[in-house]
Amino acid sequence: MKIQLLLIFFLIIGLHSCDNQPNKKNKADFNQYAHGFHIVQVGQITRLDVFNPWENARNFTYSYYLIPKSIAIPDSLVNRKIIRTPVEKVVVLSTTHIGFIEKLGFESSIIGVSGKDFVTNPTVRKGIEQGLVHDVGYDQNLNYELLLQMKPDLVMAYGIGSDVASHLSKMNDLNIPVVINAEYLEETPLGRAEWLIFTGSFYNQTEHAQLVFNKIVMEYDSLKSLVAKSSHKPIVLTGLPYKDNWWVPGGKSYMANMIADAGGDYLWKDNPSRESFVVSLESAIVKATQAELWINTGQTHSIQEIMESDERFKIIPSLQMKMVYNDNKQMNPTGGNEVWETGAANPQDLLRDLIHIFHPEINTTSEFHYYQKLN
Amino acid sequence: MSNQQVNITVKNLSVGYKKGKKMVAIKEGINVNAHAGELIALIGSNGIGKSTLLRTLTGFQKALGGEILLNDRNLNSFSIKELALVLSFVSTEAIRVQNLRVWELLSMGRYPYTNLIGTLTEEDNSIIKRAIEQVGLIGYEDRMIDQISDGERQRAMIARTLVQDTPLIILDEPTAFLDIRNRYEIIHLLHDFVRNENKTVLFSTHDLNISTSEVDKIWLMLDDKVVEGAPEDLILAGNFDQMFHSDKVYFNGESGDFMLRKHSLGSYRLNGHEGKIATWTGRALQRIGLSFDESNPLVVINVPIEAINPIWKVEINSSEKFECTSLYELTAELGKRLKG
Amino acid sequence: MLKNHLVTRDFMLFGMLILLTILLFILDIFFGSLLIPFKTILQALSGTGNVNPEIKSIIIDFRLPKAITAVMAGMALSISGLQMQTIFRNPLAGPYVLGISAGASLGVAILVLGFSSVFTLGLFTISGSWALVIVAWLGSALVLFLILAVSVRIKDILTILILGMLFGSASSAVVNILQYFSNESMLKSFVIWTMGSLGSVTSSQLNVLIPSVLVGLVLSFLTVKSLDVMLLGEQYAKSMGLRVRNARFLVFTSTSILAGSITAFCGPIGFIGIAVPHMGRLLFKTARHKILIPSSLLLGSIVMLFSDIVSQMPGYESTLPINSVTALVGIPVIIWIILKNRKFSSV
Repeated sequence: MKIQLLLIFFLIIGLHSCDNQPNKKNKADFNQYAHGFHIVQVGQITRLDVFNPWENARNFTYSYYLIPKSIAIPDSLVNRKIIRTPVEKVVVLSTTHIGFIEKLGFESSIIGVSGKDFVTNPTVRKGIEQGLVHDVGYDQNLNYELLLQMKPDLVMAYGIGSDVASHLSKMNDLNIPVVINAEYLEETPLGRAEWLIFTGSFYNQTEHAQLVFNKIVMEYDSLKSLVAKSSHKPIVLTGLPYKDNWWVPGGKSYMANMIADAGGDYLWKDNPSRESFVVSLESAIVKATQAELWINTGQTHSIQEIMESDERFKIIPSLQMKMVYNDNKQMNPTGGNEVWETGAANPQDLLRDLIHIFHPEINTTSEFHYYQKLN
Repeated sequence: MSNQQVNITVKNLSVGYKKGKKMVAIKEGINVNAHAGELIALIGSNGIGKSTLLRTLTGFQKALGGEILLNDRNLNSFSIKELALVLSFVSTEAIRVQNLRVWELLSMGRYPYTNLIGTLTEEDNSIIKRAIEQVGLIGYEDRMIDQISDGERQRAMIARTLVQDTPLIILDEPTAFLDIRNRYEIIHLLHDFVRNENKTVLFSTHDLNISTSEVDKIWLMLDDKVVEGAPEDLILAGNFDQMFHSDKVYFNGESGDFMLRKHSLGSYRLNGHEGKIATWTGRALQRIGLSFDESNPLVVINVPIEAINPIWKVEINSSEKFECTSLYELTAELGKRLKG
Repeated sequence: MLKNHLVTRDFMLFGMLILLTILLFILDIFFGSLLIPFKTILQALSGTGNVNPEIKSIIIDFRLPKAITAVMAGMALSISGLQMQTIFRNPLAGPYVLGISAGASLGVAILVLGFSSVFTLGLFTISGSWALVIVAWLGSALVLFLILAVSVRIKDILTILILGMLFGSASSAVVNILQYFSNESMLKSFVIWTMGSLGSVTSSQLNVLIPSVLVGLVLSFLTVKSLDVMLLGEQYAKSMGLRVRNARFLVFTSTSILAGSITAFCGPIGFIGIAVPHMGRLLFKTARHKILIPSSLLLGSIVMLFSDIVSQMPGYESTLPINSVTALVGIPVIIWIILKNRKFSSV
């Protein structure tokens, strides 16, 4: 008992100094796969650290204190970022967050989204139709008044650049509890999925989330091991160009890792970057001629559409052989693609589809979930 | 074209501008004429409407009423192309174009005559060459127009009208901003066109001296009307007096000049020969405010016979006497003694 | 007659410019992300030898159309810039002063940013890249129509210039509104369009681009005489027999076709139209359009080909947006003009 009290004492001292200050430990692997967050349990209070929550952030940590609604806020924590748990009314600014919440079964807690057209989850869509779930707008035109009126327990945000800090501080000023969910910065599929646990902690469901995640890991790893035996890794091309520049995932990015896990040979696997980069049309075409498969072709639904975007693609062998697959099988009528919503929380489903594309002989599934073959 | 002559007949013309739906007339009921082979000066105070009249005559502005006839044909009936063959124009606008050579500027005058891309024929080139000679710009052909003097540039612009080869040339204040020498040179040029080629040349000016002594006809714009006539006709008719509202200025019909009214200092009479010395002595005395009075003058002056070492002998009121060796001394001395 | 040595000088200069154009055209095909031996390029172009089909496609379907597009763009933008500078007597005027590219941007913005639910990534796939060309051209045509309608009623050329710029600003304002309500991927598509690109014009698109540029050029040749007299101002031009209203129509239509076509296929490419005519004036020391038009054609091609070569970043996998390179080339020239023109204000 004394030791526990002593620990709490030291931790509280430590918390004072650790909040929003350069944190040298942010690269450490607190979790199995994810780098971006760390959960510390101190009695009934949970502290969530989010490290470098946007691209190009360095040595920057947000710390959130999850305090159950049933207990009072300790004096020492009065000026911190506090979330009262369990949350019952949640606003999400990215549809990916819906995927995480839905995986844990709490989609009915969602009362606000950003960009209602893109939502695919049926429960949330129904809520939108019935006027129970509201669209709070995008980045620069977030509807703060609406947010205030909704009185959410939690706003889950994400930030592409440091300008998100201004939105966050605005919401802090308005006493709206907001956290940054930096799942998309994880470069491994399992690392990204592990943010389920991050999400679960707001619902006081950390253990349940851990179980769900463990199951995902098992499925994922067993799928992965199926390919390990294959000697042939098909060469894979991704994406579609903007005008005469082709943006491709970096060699150490999420997509690259996913392709590798599925037993594919990504054309730019040797690129050292975690982020997407630009390749000239010419270079891309030359590389494309080596590829056996072409995936993730933007918004296209058919070979015809790809040809219409640039007739010169006709020299690409994978197009000629019609070995083109796009992950837009599950689209809602208003332009939302389910893969953006549930893909991050269900890497095993993505992996299953990809393995089936790369190694049809393994036959992981009878029907694609996210992907479709283009005709 | 070079053989064509043009008479201008202006009948009951009203000039002005439109302000929305309203028409604002600057001058109405203008009736003037110009005949082929005449050099006409348009004179009037600033703002009285000279430029408006010129712009109406050149077709840039629509007349508000009346008609303008060129050789009995209404100006309005001319197409832009036809008019360019009859009338050329020099405005007050300073031309600021870089990299344009004198020859190239002049060749633009052939615009109404050349083909689609403006190729110059042998004839065109000889016309340009002749124009350069006429205005005295030989050797200037390749010079850039922004690198020659104002006077030379003005001559180049006028040469352009020669190249355009029109029987009627209209110029808006062609001598403004030029020095004395250049002014006379320009007028001399215009004179040549009129005399040698029977052109009709109309120009506006503030330069009364030149106008009254060099032009064939003056169109004088006054507040309420426009009068025309030979310079001498207008002087005799006293028209120039009406140019000024102020009674501080008046037109001296004897000398043909505008002068300021002076505070009268008295009267004078001259003894001695009539002639240049007497004339200019009289003018000097008038300048300081004395007026001629044969019968009972205040001042009597003996005018010197010779211009070399002249001596003026002055007698004031039959009492004061003194001598001067220059008109400067004379006027200064008189001014001192008569004012005091 | 102008002195003979001047005429000879002009001929020699033109000869050099033609050679330089041909040289840069060849270099533009030679340089790219991929290092292709010169011999192979020749074989691919002439259809002889045993060339890898992908390499052949790179040369015939990618590099050759790009070089041709560069020449077209260089010519079209320079001529329209020259015309604008003369008719408005303003050395800083360019092909876009009438608001042409703003109109095109508006068309593209409405397509890319307006239909948010249908277009996200890879917008060009929906009804193909032709959709983009058509809406851009419609936008420019709309602005042209407005300008022509206005120029019938308004005498003063300066007023028309100001109105053109205001139309442009109005279009930009609407575009800004559309951008404000867009998400990242739509914005990205649009922004990349505004950076300009020569390489995305395919051979079949060239079949439309080349004729329209040629039409615009032919119209501009018809304006040589008019432009010359307009150097003295519209009043003098009229006194020398120019039908000013007709001349304006012809010039505006020619400029719109030239600038509009390029913007529709390549996006807005800046600085070339302003800088190149001045290079011609500087080199030939003349104001006559009989010389300036051909010189702008050649110099425009040269500068555009050069910019394209630079934007290739030979040896690197990625490329620079063409607008950045034309800016880097054009801005020093424009600064030099401004400094030189302190004394005189018109062309």
